[in-house]
Amino acid sequence: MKDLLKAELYKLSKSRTLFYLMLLLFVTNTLGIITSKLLKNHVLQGQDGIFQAGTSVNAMWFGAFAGFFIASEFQNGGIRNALALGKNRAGVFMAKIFSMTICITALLFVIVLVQTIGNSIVNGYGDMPVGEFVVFFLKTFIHIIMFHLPYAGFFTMFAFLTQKSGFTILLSFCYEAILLVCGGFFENYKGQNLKPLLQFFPQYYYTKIDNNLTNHQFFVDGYLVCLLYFFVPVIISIFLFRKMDIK
Amino acid sequence: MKVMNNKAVLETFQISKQYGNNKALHDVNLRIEEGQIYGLIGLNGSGKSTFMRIVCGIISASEGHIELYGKSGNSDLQKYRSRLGQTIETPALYPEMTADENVMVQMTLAGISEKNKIKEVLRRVGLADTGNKKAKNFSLGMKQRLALAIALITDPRFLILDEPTNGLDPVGIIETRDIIKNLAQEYGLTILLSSHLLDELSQIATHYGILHQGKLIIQISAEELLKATNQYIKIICDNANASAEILNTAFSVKCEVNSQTELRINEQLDRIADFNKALILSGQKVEHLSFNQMKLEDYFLKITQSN
Repeated sequence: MKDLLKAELYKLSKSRTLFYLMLLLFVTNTLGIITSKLLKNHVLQGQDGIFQAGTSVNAMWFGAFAGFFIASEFQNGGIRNALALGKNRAGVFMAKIFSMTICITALLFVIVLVQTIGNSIVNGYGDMPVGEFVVFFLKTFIHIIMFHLPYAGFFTMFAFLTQKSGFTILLSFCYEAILLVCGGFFENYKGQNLKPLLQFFPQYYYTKIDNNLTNHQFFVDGYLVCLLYFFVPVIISIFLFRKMDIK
Repeated sequence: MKVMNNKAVLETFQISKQYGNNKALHDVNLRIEEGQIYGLIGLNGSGKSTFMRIVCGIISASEGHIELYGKSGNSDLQKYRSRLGQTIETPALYPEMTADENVMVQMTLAGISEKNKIKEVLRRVGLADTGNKKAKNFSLGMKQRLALAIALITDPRFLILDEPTNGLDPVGIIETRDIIKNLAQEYGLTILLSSHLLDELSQIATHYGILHQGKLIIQISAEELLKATNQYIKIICDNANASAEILNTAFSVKCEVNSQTELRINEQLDRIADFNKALILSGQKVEHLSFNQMKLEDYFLKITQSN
């Protein structure tokens, strides 16, 4: 397992995929801050930048990574080489989950960093003491990563099931679209109050974190839901991958 | 070449593979011993790659089991697969990485830390000077050789090469053949390789297996193949009947007279020089004397058509 993880880190360091995605997020988030300032439509202080990580558009980039970095290994023979070395299939899958988690962490970090620094420059930092903010930033960032873990589970599963970059990206898009449609429906349904159902969706937790910082139950529920959304696809994928023929 | 001690590196027992209604392999029983260069021959779709994939653990057999170095348990197979090098079908490469980086990935996966080995394996396949050139810019021959270098990084004792000369130009074919020969001779590797270029294969292989429609129809050594491919001596002279009588008297050899001027001899093939001398001393005019053999392609067609 150690060798598989080391190989993943080496490939990540040499791959342009993660670098380009980070660059893209840097540029789009910077432009977003500038546009907001010019249009004067939403003034955000630097210390609130940490809450800007959870948007559906960002999930698309996670899907792109799953397609171009993970599913592509079925096409270029990387998975074949690992398996022919006698590597355990569950280990190979977990190594890819590791890469996916690194990617999600790196991309979220770029977003919150750009949002924090960018908004601090444009709109001012805020009133929280810097030392206190650093601790708050790190704690909140860990929560945000945990709430994004379902993406790692599902998108890696899509890559392993389809073994194709394009299909992985398409399925990732569909996954996000379904969550958005369901979320929107439960949020805006006029009849019976369906809002409590939103708590069964991971995106509820990373989008509502700023309003629930002191709500302990919110984090307990969030961790449970997100870990469930993470482990279910992981278990399904490992079960299927163990029986799967590699092209 | 290292001395063969008849220890089985790979043995398969009734291996079958079913894809839906299509049976890609039927009860394949194959044995490869240490030091052998085993040529797996078959048409497209005959099951060569499927068989190699099963051996490498990339796909699973529907029935039967395999033994690597006499062991068949899952953990044993995993252990022995770590000593196996393979290139199956298209070269497995990261196109955006250089040759060094591609080898480094496999080296890291295998838990090898001696970085000087990268240069060594690249030198062995003639890719020591590719510098920062990315694999996507390599020619097909270079990609095949890089895949071979990747396969060699783990110091395998057993190498599985699926169509290693596929798509190569004549120079590439000769280079690849020389590398494989060298690996077998210098490093004593056991090699299982498939190829469409049967005469090319016949210059390397010590043993052959012919797969046809998923069935292993024959396993044969190079020596046995030589006998089976109908070797004969062809003589063209002014009087075939007289020559046949001379040779029969002198060597008790049976000659097959094909025409007034042509005869064939199917036995005592190592005495070709003696036959020539006897005919000349008897006053026969020998216009042509040659050692002939059915090509491996012809033998393959004969065997597969009869099956």
